[in-house]
Order: sequence, then structure tokens, then C-alpha cells
Amino acid sequence: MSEIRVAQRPALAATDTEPATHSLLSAVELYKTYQLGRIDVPVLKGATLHVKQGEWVAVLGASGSGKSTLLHLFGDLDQPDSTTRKSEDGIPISKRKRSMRRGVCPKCNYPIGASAVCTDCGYCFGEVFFEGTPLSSMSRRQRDQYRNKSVGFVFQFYHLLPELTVLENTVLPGLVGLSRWRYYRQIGQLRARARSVLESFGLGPRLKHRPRELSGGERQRVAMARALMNQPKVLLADEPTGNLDEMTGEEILDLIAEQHRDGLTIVMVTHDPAIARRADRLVQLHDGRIQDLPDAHG
Amino acid sequence: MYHALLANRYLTSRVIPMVAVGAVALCVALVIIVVSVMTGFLDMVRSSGRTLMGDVIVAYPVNGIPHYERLIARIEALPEAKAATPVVDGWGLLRMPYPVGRRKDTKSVQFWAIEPAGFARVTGYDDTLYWRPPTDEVSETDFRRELPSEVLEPVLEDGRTLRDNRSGKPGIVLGVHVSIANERQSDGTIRPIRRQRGDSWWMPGYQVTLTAQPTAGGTMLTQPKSVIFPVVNEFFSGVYLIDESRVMIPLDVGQEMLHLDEGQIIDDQQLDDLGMPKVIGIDPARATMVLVRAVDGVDATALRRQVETAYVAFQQELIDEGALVPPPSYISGGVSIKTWAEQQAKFIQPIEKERELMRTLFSLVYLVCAGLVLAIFWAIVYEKTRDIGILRSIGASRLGISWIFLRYGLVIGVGGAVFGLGLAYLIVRNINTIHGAMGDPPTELIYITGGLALTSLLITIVRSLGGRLLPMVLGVLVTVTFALAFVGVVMLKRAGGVVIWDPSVYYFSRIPNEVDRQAAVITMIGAVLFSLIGAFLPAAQAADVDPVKALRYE
Repeated sequence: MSEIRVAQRPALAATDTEPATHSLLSAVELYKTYQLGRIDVPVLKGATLHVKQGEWVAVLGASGSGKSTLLHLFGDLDQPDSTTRKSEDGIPISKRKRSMRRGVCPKCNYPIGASAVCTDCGYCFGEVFFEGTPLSSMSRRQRDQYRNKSVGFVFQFYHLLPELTVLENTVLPGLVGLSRWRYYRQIGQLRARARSVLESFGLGPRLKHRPRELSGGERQRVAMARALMNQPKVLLADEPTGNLDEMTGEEILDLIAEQHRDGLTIVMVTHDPAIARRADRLVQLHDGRIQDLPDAHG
Repeated sequence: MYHALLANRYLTSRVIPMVAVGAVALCVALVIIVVSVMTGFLDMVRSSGRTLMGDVIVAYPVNGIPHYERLIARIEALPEAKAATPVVDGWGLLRMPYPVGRRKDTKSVQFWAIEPAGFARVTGYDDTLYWRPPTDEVSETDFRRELPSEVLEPVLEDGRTLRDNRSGKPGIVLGVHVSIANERQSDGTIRPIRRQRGDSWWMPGYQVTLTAQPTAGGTMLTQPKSVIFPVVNEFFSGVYLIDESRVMIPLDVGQEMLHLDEGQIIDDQQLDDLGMPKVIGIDPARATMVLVRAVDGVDATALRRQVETAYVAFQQELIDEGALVPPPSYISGGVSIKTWAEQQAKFIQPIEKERELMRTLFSLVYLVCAGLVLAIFWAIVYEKTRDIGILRSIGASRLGISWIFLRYGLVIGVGGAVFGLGLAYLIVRNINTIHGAMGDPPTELIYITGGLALTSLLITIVRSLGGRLLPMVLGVLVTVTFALAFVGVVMLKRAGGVVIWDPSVYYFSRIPNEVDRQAAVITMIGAVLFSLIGAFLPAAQAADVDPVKALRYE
């Protein structure tokens, strides 16, 4: 399984990596392979997707096609193989990461800046870019901050903390990374912000309830509120209506659409074309690669 | 700050952390109780030695030190010494007034012949006299409350002067357990048993006969001497070994009984005007011990060095004066000068070793703390894998995740340590009451345990009607526990109680009830530290949780 390609396709390298510097969020030549016992199961085989500021992109795909994996890579919950797996060309991961931080090709040391492809030797490796910066070039702290401030996650199964109330679940991203000193100064503001988001989602009377006391739709709205708590630039939604009935799902999609109208960039994965049609742009993940689909409203 | 919120919620939303706090608390309490009792025991040995013997003891057994008054004067002139007093000690047989009839009990005793006033200045003698008007702190059931103060006040005065002030005769003060008629009650007080008819065997007022075996120069025995004494009081030092074997008599009487009083030195070869062997000098009275009390704040060892110097000067002075009976040499003459701790070394050292051994063995409890926290946290981390994934997705760092669990461990350690200290304090402070209750279980305890067992059984039956197994099993367990407690109390009551702290085995009549602060602090720190160590591994495991795997499946 090779995740590192000595690219023989200069055209791909020259054009497909260029938008990474102009897009808000980009996946370039992502490879991801999972191991099931001794068997390698490739999921992404060079997936490339550029998401512009304010865009709502829906990623369609069959179950197991790698939609969630792509979202996890966007959200830095997981890393592409180029930063975690040993390459077949013998370049150590540490050297690859070092070279990327320095903006040079790991193979020929040619200056490549923030690109994932060397225009000199054609060496190409998978990378996720946020505002033109490769995630793997960020320090751990910067990546934690990226997950905390720049992106917000909404999961199919809500993933709320059962011990916390609705308000506490929502305020949690605001608390992460807050020092004790700043906590005492800002907790009031954070609570007010969380309360305001929850109230705008119609959860005002539910602030002190625990997740188990809520319906599925309410839980997902709390998850939405949590994702938006820190006013992220991108919302990553993984089958946000997958666990809800049609009507409740529509309500959630309406909420997402409302956020999108306010300028929020959204990447949503779903297996349902009807839901995907709410997005500005539709792409399909097929055989580990992204394919553009006809206009969502067309 | 999310660490505090989550650690707090994980702690309060389930029972397991409370069980962990309880287990750590029990471990901490166990160590503090054991070490406190051992340390208290050691302190009691030390302080009793000092109370009963002063700080430094100059001893020359059997033959005694002549001119001891001059030695005392020299010692009392030392700035380090507060007071000194002579003692003559020996062994004798004491004929007791009981039982009724001609045949009386006889007991082997150690007698100390003392000057009561001087002895009281060096030791805590006056405070040890047991029969005295009761203070407000004395319990309602104390036998002393049954005696009128017109009786107790003269008895106390007689004890202080070692004299029956009505008859003017020299009196004897017995250790409170010398008489087998004195029974120790569960509240620690003494009550004499009643005679078949009439009053009790309260020793003051009775007479005893002390028979001593004197020596005549060295080890040659002479005729035994017997003296009848009125018992004027009894003393209670708290050291059972002493309270059951020692009696106090006046110094002059003791010297006379052992032939250590002043005598004449005669020359068989010379005759006086009456044809009798000529008196050529005076053999001075002797004391087999001189007890010395240090000025407050002076170390006993420093005082001992000064007393050694004083003794050498005292002996040299008498040799220079050409005394017919000079004192024995300190270096080669068999005189010993020791501090109370050195005198008690054979007794104290094994206890110190035992305490260290106990401390070391019980410190293994720390490992129990660590293992306990580790096992519980491992389970919690496993259960909380999804939460960890969620927290990672909202930007929590690996360090932050591990800090939640370390904080959790810290709270369990600190909580366990504090509760353990509280539990240990309650048990140690009330250990004699608990022991007394075990010796004589109150009847109410039977009703309480029986009532609890019955109530628990009824609740179990009612809850079992719902058909769920868990409440039924829990109810049965609780019922069986109370039932066993009930049976245990009933059996204890029928057996007449159980005495674990037998004074005849442990020397002291009371179990030490002071918490060893140093041991408590060390134990608490150890518990917190080992709880943290126990939390480290699961915390690291939590930090390494792959958020994707954690979130992938519901």
C-alpha cells in the first residue's frame, strides 16, 4: 500500500494543489488505509477536495466509502497516511514532516511552499490545508486550537457528555484551553453565549436537562450549539440527520442552512442524495477519490 | 478549567469513586490507627519511666550508697538538676488481709522506701495516689463517688506523708493492682470487690505485713524482718507491671528492714570501759538509688554527664576526708548512673523495633491504594472512551485529557486521606470506649443490630416483589451482614465480652488514644501520592485514546 506517490502526473500536481492556497479548507491527494487484522483496507486513494469560504459542500457516498474518514482528516481527528505510515520510497516520516515545515520537497529539497506536490521532481504526498497552511506543519498546540476554534463537529450520534447538562455541554468548547485566571473572567460571557445559541435553537427551557432527558432532535440541536459555541469557520457534519426521523432531520437541516446563510462554511457527509441536495455543491466519494457531481440545485 | 468540571461530574455521578474514596480512607485509617497506638504505647513507656523514676538514676543495689545526703546536696547544687531523692529498694513478701479466715494470701512485691515529699518533687508520686476526693471529670459510676470526702481527704494526706496520721504509725501505699480485690472497670476506674458480708475489700484501713530479707555485708542473708503497716492509700501509675508489684514505704523503715540504716562500727579487738567491743565510728545510712529530676528543658543525657562528674567529686571528697565508709567508685565499684531511657532500654528498644516493623508492613497498604485507584480508573477510562473522543474533537489536548484523570485521582487520594484521618481520629480518641464496649457489649447494641437485620429483611422482601434480582441480592447481603453483627454481639454478650488489650500483657491499663500527627501527615501524603501513581497509567491510556476509534461506533 503506498500512500506516497512519486507522481507521474505533473498536470495533477500543477493544477490540483494550486487551489489549496486559495481555499478555506483543502484535502490534497489524501490516502488512508485501515488495517483489519493483517489485511490492509484502503479507504481513500488520493482524495482531493477544495472547500471555499462560505461554501456548503455535501459529500455523498455509499456506506464504508470513506466519507467519515475524510471528515475526520479535515477535522484533524485523524492524519493521512503520509504523516503516519512509513513510505515505500524510504523517506522517514520525521524527515517528511520537517521538510514540509520548511516548505521544501522531502525528496529533492526543492522549495514547494505550502504545496503538497513538488513541481521539480513530481513528488506528491497527501495533506489537509486550512487557510493554506498544512495541518501537519502545525504544532500539537496549534492543532488543538484548530479543532477547538476553527472547526466544529456535528456527529450522527450527537456525542454529548451524559454527565453534563445541556448548558454545560454547550459551554464545554469555550472552557477548553481556558486558564483558571481567564475562566473566572470569562465564564459569565461564555455562559451567556451558550445560553443565547441554545435559545436561538429553541432549547431555552432545556438548559439544565441532561442529554438522556432530551429527544433525538433536541440532542442534535445541542450538538449543533456546541459545535457553534466558539464561532468556528467550518462546520463538519457527519450524517447529522442519520439518526433522526424525516421531519426532525429537516429541522436540523434548516438550522444548518440558517448558519450557512450567515456565512458559515459547511462540509456535510451523507449517503442520502435528498439531504445532500440542500448543499451548494455536491461531490461523491467513489473508490477512494472525489468526483464532482452535477449542481445540487440543477 | 473543563478538567475540574468533568472530574467533579465523574466523581459525583457514580458510586465507584465513592467506593475508591472509602477504600483509600480505610487504608489510611488503618495505618494511622496502628502507628498511633504503637507510638502512644512507646510514649507511655517513656513518660511513665520519667514519671516514676525521674530523669537520671544513680544506683548501687543491695549495699547502697553511704553519705547519700551529701551526694544529693551536691547534685541539687547543679544548675541542671531540679531535685534529687533517695530510694531504698528491695523485694519482700506481702501478707494480704484477705480472704476472711486464718489463711491469708501472700504476694511477692518490690518495695520502694522513699521520703514522700522529696520523692514527689522528683517523680509524679502525688498525682499517682488513687484514693482522693473525686473531681468533676470522674465518671458517675466511679467508686470514689461512693466514699465521703471526710474519708478520702485524710486518706490522700496519709498517702502523701506515708503515715497513718491518726495512729502516727508509718504506712504503706500499694500499687493499685497489688490487691486482687481491686477490679478494673470497663471505664478504666477501680472498684474493690465486696466482702461476703458488710463492706468491700477497700484496702485503705486494712493492715498488711511486709517481710523483707536483709543482707549482712554483701550477699550473706540474715534473719528476715517483718513489719505490719496500715494501708494508707494506693497508687495508680498506669503501668500494670508496676501497679501490680510495687509498694511504697517510708525510707527510714525500709532502711531498717534491709539493715541499711545508720549503725556503729566496732572493733572486736578493742574493748571500751565497760568491756564491750569499742565503737570506732558510725556506719552511715544508705540508699540503693538516688533519683534526679532535671530542670525543665534540660536534656536527661546532659544531666547524666553532670551527675557523673558530681558523683566522682563526691566520692573523692569523702576519700580525702578519710571517711571510714567511703562511697563505692563509679568507674570500678559497680555504681550505675543512667538516664531513665537508658534504664528502660531493654524495654523501649524492642517496642521501637516493633513499631518500625508495623509501620513498614502496613505501608504496603499504599500499594493497595495505588492498585485500587488503578483498577477503578482503568475501568472508568474504558467506559469513558467515547467522552475522550468527544473532548478531543472539541480541541482538548492529550495532556488536558490525562489531567482530568490525574485530578480525579488526586481528589480520590485527598478525599480518602481526609476521611481516613477523620475515621482514625474518631477511633483512636475513643479506642478505650470501643474496647470497653467489646469487653461489656451494651444491651442496646443487640436491639439495634437485631432491629436493623429485621428492617433490612422486610425491605428486601418488599423490593423482591418487583422481580428484579439486583435489589434482592443487595438486600440479602445487607441483611446477612446485620444478622451476623447481631449474632456476634449476642455471642459476645453471652461470653462476657472480649478483652483484647489485656493490661497484664500490654503493661498499661489504658490503650494510648493520641493520634500520632507525624505518622498521620506521612500516611496522608503517601495515600495521595500512591493514588496519583495509580491514576498515572489510566491517565496516559486516556491520553492515547484514538478519537476516531472512540467516536466511530455508538
